[in-house]
Amino acid sequence: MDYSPKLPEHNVNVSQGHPLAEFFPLLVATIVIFLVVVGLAGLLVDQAVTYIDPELESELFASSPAQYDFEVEASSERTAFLQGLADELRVCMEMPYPITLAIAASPQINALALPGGHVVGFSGLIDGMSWENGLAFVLAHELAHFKHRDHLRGMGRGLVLVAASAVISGSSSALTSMLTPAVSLGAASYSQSREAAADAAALEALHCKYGDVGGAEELFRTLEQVNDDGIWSEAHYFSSHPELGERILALQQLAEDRQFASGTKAPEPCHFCGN
Amino acid sequence: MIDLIIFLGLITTGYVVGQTLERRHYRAIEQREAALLALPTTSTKRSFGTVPPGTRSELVQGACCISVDYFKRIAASLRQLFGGRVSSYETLVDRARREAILRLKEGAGDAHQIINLRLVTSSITKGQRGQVGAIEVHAYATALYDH
Repeated sequence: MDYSPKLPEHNVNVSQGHPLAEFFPLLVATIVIFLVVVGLAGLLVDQAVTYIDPELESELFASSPAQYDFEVEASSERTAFLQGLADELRVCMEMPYPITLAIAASPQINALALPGGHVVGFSGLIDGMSWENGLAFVLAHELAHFKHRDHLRGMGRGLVLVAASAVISGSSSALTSMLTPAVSLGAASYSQSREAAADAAALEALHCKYGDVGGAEELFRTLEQVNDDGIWSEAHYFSSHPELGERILALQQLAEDRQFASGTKAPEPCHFCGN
Repeated sequence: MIDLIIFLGLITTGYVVGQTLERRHYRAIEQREAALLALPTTSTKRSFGTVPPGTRSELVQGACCISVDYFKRIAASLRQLFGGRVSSYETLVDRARREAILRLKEGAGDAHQIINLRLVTSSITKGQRGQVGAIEVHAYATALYDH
């Protein structure tokens, strides 16, 4: 046997395609599947939350009390006043279940509806208001999210996103840890239609309590002012919400359609607010 | 957001650096294979031709350990979802095999032929979470010397 050495012409052990030509179709397919799964699960969550009534919800979350990322103000006349205001609005909004109100000691202009019947007002928001009516509108808006089960929707979608990411990439992956805040924030963002529905319900509550919807848009005006002053580059409370001006117009339009009185009575001053 | 930027940074770095190093390695492998082509190497136990009396035989070996880069790892994990050829790992194993054989040949000194070549492959990290995978190929053979 003669030995006649020769190198092979082609490397048959290695695929000849470009690495990126393989990578991108796989990446796109993964992303598409991920989005479809999250979208479908989100729709399921939308259906499921309508079956979770407030009693069941408070049972579900009783074992795990709300985890706040912020300091809660100790009970005071101010918290008692807000709790009383919320309770009165609750009667107007036909919500026959308890809602616990807390004030977060934070300069953010924000308020949240959290699972388990918790509404949190940030001291930055309360200090920025002058009128009880304006504050009542914000509280009623959060109560409306609660009544409409929006807070569960928000959290449910967040959970679905994290669960899907954990299945695909592992629970400790960078992707999962990146998405996890979407769950802890809970009520981070609602769609514009959910916001508009909450605004409308809050306006009705204001009409019920005061017989006048004047002052409803105080927060939006404050935020507009703040925006104009350039102090905040974005309005934290309504960054995911319809444009402020549009919302004010929508409120005015609704008040007109429903023939709610507006500005016929002087708004109640808020003794516990900052201004 | 910062996590996404870090992820994209890692994957881009992994791709650019990994591909550059791989191309360079392949060039080196091809040059050295051509240079060592004249040394007969076979996996059979029998030698080429008749072995003259006084021929000395020795165990020779070469090993090489090659790691995946971040891009290959992500590409392979995407491939795991769908199945099919993990082509991003093919070059890795190919390079390790050829490099191990080259090191064996280079370590064989003035052997006139190498017989009974065997390859053993092992995974260094067994795919444990958070660790970058690496493979080792160990080549061992019998080298025949004139005296």
